[in-house]
Amino acid sequence: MNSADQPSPAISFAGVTKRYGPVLALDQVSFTIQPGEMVALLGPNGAGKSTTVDVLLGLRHPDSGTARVLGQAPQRATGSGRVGAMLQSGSLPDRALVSEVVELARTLYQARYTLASLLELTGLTELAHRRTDRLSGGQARRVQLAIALAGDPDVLFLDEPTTGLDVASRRLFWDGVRRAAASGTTVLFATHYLDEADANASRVLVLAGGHLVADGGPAAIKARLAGQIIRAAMQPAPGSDLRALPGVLAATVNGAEVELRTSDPDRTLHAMYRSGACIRNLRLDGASLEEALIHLTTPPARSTL
Amino acid sequence: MIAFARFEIRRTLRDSRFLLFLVAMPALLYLLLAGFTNSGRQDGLPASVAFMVAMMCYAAIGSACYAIGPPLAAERARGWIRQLRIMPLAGTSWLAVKLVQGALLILPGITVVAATAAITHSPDLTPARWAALAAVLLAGSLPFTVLGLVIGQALDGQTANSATLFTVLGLAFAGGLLIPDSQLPHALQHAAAVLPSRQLANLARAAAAGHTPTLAAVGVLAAWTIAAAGAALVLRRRDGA
Repeated sequence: MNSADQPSPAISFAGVTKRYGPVLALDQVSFTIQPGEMVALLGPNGAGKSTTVDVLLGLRHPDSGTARVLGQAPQRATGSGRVGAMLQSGSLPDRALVSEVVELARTLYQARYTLASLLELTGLTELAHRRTDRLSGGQARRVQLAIALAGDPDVLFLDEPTTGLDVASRRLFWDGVRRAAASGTTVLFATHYLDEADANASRVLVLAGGHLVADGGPAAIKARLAGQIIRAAMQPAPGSDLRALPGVLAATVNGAEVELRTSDPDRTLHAMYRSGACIRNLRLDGASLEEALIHLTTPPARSTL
Repeated sequence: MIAFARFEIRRTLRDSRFLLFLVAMPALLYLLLAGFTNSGRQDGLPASVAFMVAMMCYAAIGSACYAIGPPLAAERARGWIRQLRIMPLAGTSWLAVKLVQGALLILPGITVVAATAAITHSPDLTPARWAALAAVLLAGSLPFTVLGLVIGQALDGQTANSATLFTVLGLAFAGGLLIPDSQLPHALQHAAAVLPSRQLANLARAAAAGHTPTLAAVGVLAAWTIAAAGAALVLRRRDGA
């Protein structure tokens, strides 16, 4: 990795490996993120997203490889107060008021924000005097966001920040992040929603099974990952190659049952009907991220274990 | 750090049921024990004073362990401790705040025992001896606070509760707080000299009797404090803790 010849990256991960007993959570993962980038860490559950974030926060130590945040060891970086984070398993203390928790974060981070402006930024003004154990999921997430933003951080980590939130809360949440990050904050967020990565990131890192399997712009990643699955009972014309149909990324034939993964279902279906084949029992499903990742990760040989 | 101390103490004070539980137990035990044995002397003190001192020690030990250990285990389970670890608050500052919190939280328990004793047996202590006793208990709460931290950091949920109960009762019994030393098995009477509960009781009785504290007692309490504080900090920094 030629991270050395780039001007001081905000985040660097070089050959990081982390095991939990027999489970290989991260296998030689390397990437660098430049200041001001907004990067999504995309992958299904168990891909290694949280481990990556934990290592970058100094909560876990890699077995080998190095992690650097703002050029420092992760623990030093977080200790300096220039890093903000929302943990997946992070939560709020009980028996405290929203305003007390946010005020604590403000004091610890020696924030420039006033309490009022931080509450305003995260949409918590009305909830300032509510107890933390009486918040909805979305409200609690916004308090966690306020904690993460309190120090006006140079680097912001968000580990599956919107899991369990409805669409409206999700939009409120990302509005807050974008407003806060407008000043050039580097953001790395973990998610298992492709659309969330697409909508909010300028770059997407895809993790699967502890391997970094893709790194690119959201449009390119989406083209590789998104896709629809067409399933039908179909008698293809002899000798015809289903894979040659427009848009088709992969095809499986199981007796009379055909399964086509396509990036463009309209064109694929059109071509299927035009071929004159007898098509019955047609179904169209969105490919889940897991399904898409199987296609993305199976072709290359498994790296050394 | 002061902001964090204020935050933590305010939260504890919101839990009134918990505070009630902390103060009720030693005060009731005092009434039970001192009610029957109103005369005679024990450990060079009038029996009622000796029981009061023992129950104040018990209140200090129980309050410090219970106020610190199980809540820490619960906050670790909730994920709040991880969030706190990535905020700019040094582990040693966190430890210092916990020590102050533990010391302050023994105040309700020891005050209620003292008040109960004052009402029922009017113990004859000079203000200076009351003050010395309070000072010994506040400083002597430190090893029990850090024991609470070790339990809360090492164990989860229900296990942490049980371990706290076991620790508090074990230390109180072996330290001669719930039954007199002389009724303990002979071997335990000697071995218990290394226990912080026994030495806290020694120091507290010395304060109530106007004696100077022994170096051995102070040394044992300091050694427990340092060892357990080190263990708590190491456990806190442990991978993924």
